Amino acid sequence: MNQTIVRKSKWFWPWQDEQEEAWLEEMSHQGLHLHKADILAQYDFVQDQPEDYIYRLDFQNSLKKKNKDAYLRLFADAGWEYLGEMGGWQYFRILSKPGETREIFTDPETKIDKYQRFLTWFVAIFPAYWVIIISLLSDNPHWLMWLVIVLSLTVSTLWAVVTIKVQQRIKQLKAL
Amino acid sequence: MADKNDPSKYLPLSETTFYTMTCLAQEPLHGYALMQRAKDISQGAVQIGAGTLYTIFSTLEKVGLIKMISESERRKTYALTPKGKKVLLLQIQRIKIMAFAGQNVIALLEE
Repeated sequence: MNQTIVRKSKWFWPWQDEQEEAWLEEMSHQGLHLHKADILAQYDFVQDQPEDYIYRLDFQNSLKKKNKDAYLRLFADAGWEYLGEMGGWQYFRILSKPGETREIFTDPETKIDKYQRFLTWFVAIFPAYWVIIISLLSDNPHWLMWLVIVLSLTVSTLWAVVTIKVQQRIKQLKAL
Repeated sequence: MADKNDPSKYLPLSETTFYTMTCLAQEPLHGYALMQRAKDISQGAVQIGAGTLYTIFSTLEKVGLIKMISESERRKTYALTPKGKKVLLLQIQRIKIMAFAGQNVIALLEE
């Protein structure tokens, strides 16, 4: 039987991962099941019968191979199907079952850790970014310099917004 | 500066961390076996998700309260360290005091 693959472009912000999960669940209700997550902002879906899948996202981008294996084994043992990784986001799904808890994070503390892992990495890349910008500025023609300045200001603003938004999400969870 | 080895600095343990360590106090376990054991001994009250348990294992291992003792088929089996035992013991003593304090006001609350 031939499988129909439907490709969709979609972007989500790191503080909106739960909305992303809900959206993937809605797609599965329509018979479009995430096939693999690997290319940034793009999903491949397989068209089939509608299913009551639950999708969950974790953030892990610094696991060594050996730890990643053990990590995936733990999720597999608990019944989670692994759908791949996209920019550090790990995609899992499981069929919903009445009366069963279907969560990968079952307390606020470890849920906060997920966003904290994202922030630690995200805060660390910023100085690296500026090192590149400054090295570009030091030996380039005038017009390019302005372009680089405008671009870097935009990126910096975006960076600040993401950091603040994710911090707000952590604060929300801490209030639980 | 607090004593580096003072077990009370790890307290209070979260409910999930408490059950994780209590399960390991019975015997060394790997993740999935621990999830089932925790559900069992908490009388169904605590179900630990895979992401939560992975995070707790990593944290406890990093601070030396548990250690990995074996690995087979990519499943890591953990055991409590002597330091972990001290911390858990102290936590249990505190919970007993909490339960006792609570017990004394139950009648007043139910009035």
